[in-house]
Amino acid sequence: MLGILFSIICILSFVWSIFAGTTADMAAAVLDGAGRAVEVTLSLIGVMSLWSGVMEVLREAGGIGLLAKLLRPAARFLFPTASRTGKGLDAAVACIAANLLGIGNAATPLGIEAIREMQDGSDIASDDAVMLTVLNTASFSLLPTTVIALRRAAGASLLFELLPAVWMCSGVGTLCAVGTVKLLCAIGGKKHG
Amino acid sequence: MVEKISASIVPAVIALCGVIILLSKKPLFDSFIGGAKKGCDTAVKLFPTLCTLFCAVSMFSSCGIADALAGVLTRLGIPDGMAAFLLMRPISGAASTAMLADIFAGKGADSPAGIAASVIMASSDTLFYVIAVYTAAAGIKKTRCMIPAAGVAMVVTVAAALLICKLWF
Repeated sequence: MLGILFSIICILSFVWSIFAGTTADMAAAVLDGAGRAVEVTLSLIGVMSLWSGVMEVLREAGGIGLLAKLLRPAARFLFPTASRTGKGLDAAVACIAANLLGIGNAATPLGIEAIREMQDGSDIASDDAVMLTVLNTASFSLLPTTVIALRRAAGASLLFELLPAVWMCSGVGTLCAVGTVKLLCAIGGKKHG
Repeated sequence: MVEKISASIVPAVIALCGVIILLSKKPLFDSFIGGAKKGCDTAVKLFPTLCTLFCAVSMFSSCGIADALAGVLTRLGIPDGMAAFLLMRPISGAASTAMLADIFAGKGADSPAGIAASVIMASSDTLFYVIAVYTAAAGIKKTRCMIPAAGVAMVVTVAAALLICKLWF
C-alpha cells in the first residue's frame, strides 16, 4: 500500500510540474530530499542507539515490567496478542508512556522494537502491530514540547492555555484511532502475528 | 515550571540508568552497549526507506500541487492560510513545521489560525513517516488497515481541532 502511495505521489507530482512549469525546482528538491534523508538517518542513529541502550538497562532491572504491569488493563485491550504472548508488550507500553511524556524521539525506537517483536518476521501486519502504528500516528501527548517551544519563539502569549484543547483533540483522535483499527481489523478478518 | 520538569525527564531517565548500572551486580553497562548496538543497526537499515520517502515528499512539495489543492480547500471553508499546512502535516514534518512558522509570522501565533494550527501540530504526527519507519523496521509488506485507519483518525483530529478552537478561543 505504501508502494502504491509512493508511485501515485511521484507520478502526480511530475505530471503536475510539467503543466505548472516547476520541473527545474523539482529536480533540485529531489536531491535535497535524498540529502535530508541522510541527516535524519544520522540523527536517528544517535537517538535510537541511546534509547535502545536505556531500554535494555531498564528492562534488565525490571523497570519496564513494572510499567507494563501498571498499564496492563489498557494493554490487554489494545494489544491482546502481545498481552498473551508477552512479545513486544514491554516496549509497546514504554513507547506509549514516552509519547505521553512528550519525549517523542524516545517513543520511536521503543515503538520500533515493539513492532519487530510483535511481527517476529511475518510480513503481514498483525492486529497489534496495526494498533501500535496507528496509535503512534495519532501520538497522544500530554506535553507537546516542540509546539510550545515554537510558540514561545514566535512571541505567543497563549502557551500552556492551549493544553486542554490539545488534550481534547488528541483524546478524540486517539479514541477514533482505536475504534477504527478495532473495527477495520475485525472486518478484514483476524490475523495474529 | 512545567517546561522545566518536562526538560529534565530525559536526563533524569539516563541518570537513573547510571544508578541502576552502579547498584546492580549484573553487567548492565554491557547491556546498555548491546541495546545501543541493536538500535544503531535498526536506524541504519531504515535509511533506504527514508531516502525513498523523502524524495517522494520533496517532489510533492516542490511541484506546486499543494498550493492548488490549498486553494480548493480554502474555498470549502478551511480558514485562510491553514489549508497548505493541513495538506503537508501528514506528509512532511519539516515542511509542516516551516508552514506553522509561516502562519505565526503572517497572522500571529495568537490569531485563530495560529492557535488552530498549533493544536493540530501538537495532536497529530507525520503519518507517512511513522508508518514507513514502523513497517520498514518490522519488514511488513501488507499493512492491512493501517493507512486508512490512520487517515480517518487524522481527519477526525483536524476536524475536532478546528471546531474546538472556534468555540474556545
